[in-house]
Amino acid sequence: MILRDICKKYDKITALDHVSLALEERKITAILGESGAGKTTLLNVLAGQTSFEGSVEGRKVCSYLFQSPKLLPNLTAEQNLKFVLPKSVHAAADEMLGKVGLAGRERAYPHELSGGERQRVAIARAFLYPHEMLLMDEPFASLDLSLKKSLIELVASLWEQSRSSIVFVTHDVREAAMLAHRAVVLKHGRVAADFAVEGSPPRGFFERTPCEERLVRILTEEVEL
Amino acid sequence: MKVAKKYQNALLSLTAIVALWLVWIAAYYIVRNDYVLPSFWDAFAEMGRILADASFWRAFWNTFLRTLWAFLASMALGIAMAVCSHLTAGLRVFFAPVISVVRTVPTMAVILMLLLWTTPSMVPVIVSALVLFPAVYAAALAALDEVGENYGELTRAFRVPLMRRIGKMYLPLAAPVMLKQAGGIFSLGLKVVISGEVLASTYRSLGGMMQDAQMYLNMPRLMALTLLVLFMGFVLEGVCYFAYRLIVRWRT
Repeated sequence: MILRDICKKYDKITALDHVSLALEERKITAILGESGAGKTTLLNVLAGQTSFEGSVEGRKVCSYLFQSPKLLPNLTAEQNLKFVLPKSVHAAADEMLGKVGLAGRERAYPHELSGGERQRVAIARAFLYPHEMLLMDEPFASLDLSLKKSLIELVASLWEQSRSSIVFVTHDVREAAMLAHRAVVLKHGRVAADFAVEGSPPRGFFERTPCEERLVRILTEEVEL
Repeated sequence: MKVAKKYQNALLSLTAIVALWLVWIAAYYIVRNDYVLPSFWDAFAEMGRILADASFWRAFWNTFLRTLWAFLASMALGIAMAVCSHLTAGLRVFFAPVISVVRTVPTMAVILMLLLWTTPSMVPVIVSALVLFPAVYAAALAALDEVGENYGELTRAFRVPLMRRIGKMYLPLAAPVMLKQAGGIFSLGLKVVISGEVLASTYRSLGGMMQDAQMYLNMPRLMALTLLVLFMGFVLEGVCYFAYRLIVRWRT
């Protein structure tokens, strides 16, 4: 999927300023930046959920993982998956819930699940939905460290099985360092850095990696763009 | 602790009812005119006679059925229009002045017109449905808007089909709000039906019985019928609340 010269303005605010990117297939790309850098806007452009100037080639069918699980409270875990899935994939719902560590919890309602379990249901839903690209909008943002680590490892293991293209937005350098094949840093709506990350995900969570140090330096420096 | 709180709330409610009863008794002794305010004991005795009268139960059943029909009609129309308004912005704008007109038109004017167009039996049903419908529409639309705000992004992202959205998301998630308000709406409907029955002189109705009592200055009977209608309203609200608890089992 290739983005060329993408611009997006909200009234007088420029969210994206001539952003060009070529997203690799079957890889995990992390989009990082401070609040207001244009990360979520870029995700919405990829999803086709917002108008923009510029061009997008090779648009993909997308699945989603939101920051909050967005589970319907009146449906069980299994029913929440089936709510969004085409009928052809319904039979795989229970198996996928087993893969994310929720075997035996298929009939539980969201209020009977912990926060981490709810996000696991959302992860199962996102991976099971027939897609060519998975978009994740700060999916680990509101989680504690150990839960964050376990869910990142889960996403990495599911990616190993599916090998779908993933683009995820985060402001946490540790998440990007652990999970991404490639890191793109946005600052003030422009691409400030774009580089490949060494090694295969999932990488160490508690070790300070060179990638993490590099990202921290880029994000904290005042860079002339 | 929870049980103690439940008993405390029940005690407070009972205290309020006892306070109202004491106000009645005090007012009776102050007014000292049975044609203006009968004594509680006379009204209570009359209540016993009414309950033993078969014609009361016929009238009670007819009034209840009229209220039920008005309630169901207003719910069906209100919810259907609210779903259309929520899904289509143009319809929301189109319906706005219609709802405004229905809400604002004087009930008395409607009753007088309906007396010319239809039977005394239908007048209370239609007028009650018209009074309830704007309230049902507003409540349903607010509930649907809240559901849309919380889960609209999910359904747009995953392209969930319309009928599945309506059947598995919008209606089930709006239902608790509507069920919680159903008791109040039902009680209001009962009040309007009885008003309509009084004005239309509807045969075999609670409103008709009240009108007869007023015509013959039988104040104890009028008060007794009022108390019975109040009790009916409480029971209906209780039934709606029980239905809410039974149906919405997935809520914490």
